[in-house]
Amino acid sequence: MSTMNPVALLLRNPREVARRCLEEEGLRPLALASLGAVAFGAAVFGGVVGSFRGGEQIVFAATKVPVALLGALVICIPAFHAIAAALGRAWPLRSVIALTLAAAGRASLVLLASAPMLWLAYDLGLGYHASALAATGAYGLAGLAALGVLIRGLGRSKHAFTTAIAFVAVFMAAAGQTGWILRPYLVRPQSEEVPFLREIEGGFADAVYRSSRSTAGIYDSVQAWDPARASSVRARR
Amino acid sequence: MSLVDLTVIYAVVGMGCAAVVYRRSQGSPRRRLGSAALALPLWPIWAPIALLPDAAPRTHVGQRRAADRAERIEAELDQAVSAAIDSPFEVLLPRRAADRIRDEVRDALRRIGELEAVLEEPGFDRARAEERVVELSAGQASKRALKTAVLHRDSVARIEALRDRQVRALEELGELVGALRSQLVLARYAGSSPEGVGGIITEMWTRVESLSEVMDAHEQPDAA
Repeated sequence: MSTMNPVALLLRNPREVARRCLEEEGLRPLALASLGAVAFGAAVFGGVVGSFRGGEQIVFAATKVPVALLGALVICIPAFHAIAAALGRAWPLRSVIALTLAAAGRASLVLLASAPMLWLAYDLGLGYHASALAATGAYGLAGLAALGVLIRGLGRSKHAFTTAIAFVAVFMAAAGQTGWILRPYLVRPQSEEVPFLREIEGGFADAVYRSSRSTAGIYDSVQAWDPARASSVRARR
Repeated sequence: MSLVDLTVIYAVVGMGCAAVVYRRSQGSPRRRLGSAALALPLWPIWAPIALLPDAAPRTHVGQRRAADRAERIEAELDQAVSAAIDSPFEVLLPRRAADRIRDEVRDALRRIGELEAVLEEPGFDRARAEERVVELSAGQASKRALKTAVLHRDSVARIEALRDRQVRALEELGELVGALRSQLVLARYAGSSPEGVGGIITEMWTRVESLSEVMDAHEQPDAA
């Protein structure tokens, strides 16, 4: 058995982490370390994203990113348990919780590691859209790190691939919606007021649908021309 | 139901869970309070971890079988010693000798457990090590990399062979102790040739010695 501390295990030995989760060995320290990693790693990353606007948005984003991630986990874990059981892995709920937390903890450590690079990029004058893309890239990397733990937990047996795909799909939907409810994270520096939460207008899936139509040049709603608003936008630019 | 309603319901359940976690957790009040505070916002993921104990350490199949065998050996040894007391065979199997055999059996059992645990570690899977050698042989790997992979595979095979030898020695010792027990019981009640008992005891000590042997570093593994 490895005597490495749980945080080092999360980073360096995902196979051992997965084994401990599935054999219910030392779950409490592992879960605590994972929660700590999520709280700290995601908060630092959120703070850096918020620093694009600066001011109170740093605190807002640092609070909301870990909350969004933990909220998504709370929603996903029962579903993961059911999916795993349905696909031939009747794991105890504790194992599923620990495996998912460990995956999220590892992802958060990757977010923490990518935060300085993102901060440097902002400091060098990265634009709004490029910043959004850079943050998305960091999330993508973190997701791959999390997947490393999940895949090792699933092993090479039957339905492992289907189970992994189902986990990712459920997580993307839940994390997308919790993230959508808690937006904004990245705010333009010119914005005078920054709300802690935006008003709920549709859902994540609806936003994805509308954005994909907009990309194709189809606009479902067109705002009436407002000369005052247009001049204020021009002035901000 | 609005988001606020859901949040209130979630918080109420969280408070209940936090109270249960505080009451049922073990450790200092500070630790219990910390655990309860964590359960309040995160009860769906923290309560099962905080309230349920870890699973008992799993014993490997080989280790369990060896443990059963060791238990039987100790019971039969006790019976053999009892049968030898106040008989001409007592000198051949005194209680002190039985105690030594018992110690050796326990040491062997511990070694088997340790070897089983090592073989369960990531990287000690023999099939995977073999696959790696095949992969490197088929690919463009350097000779040095292939040599290292072969060395690793052979080492894993030797650890397996050592474990198997310990298990076999324990099994053979068990058969001998069983035979000795029945000979001594028979001799006690019906008379038996001391030569037969002496032969079994000599063979038994050979097996006891072999239990504490370590595998010769130059010996080829059985299944390599």
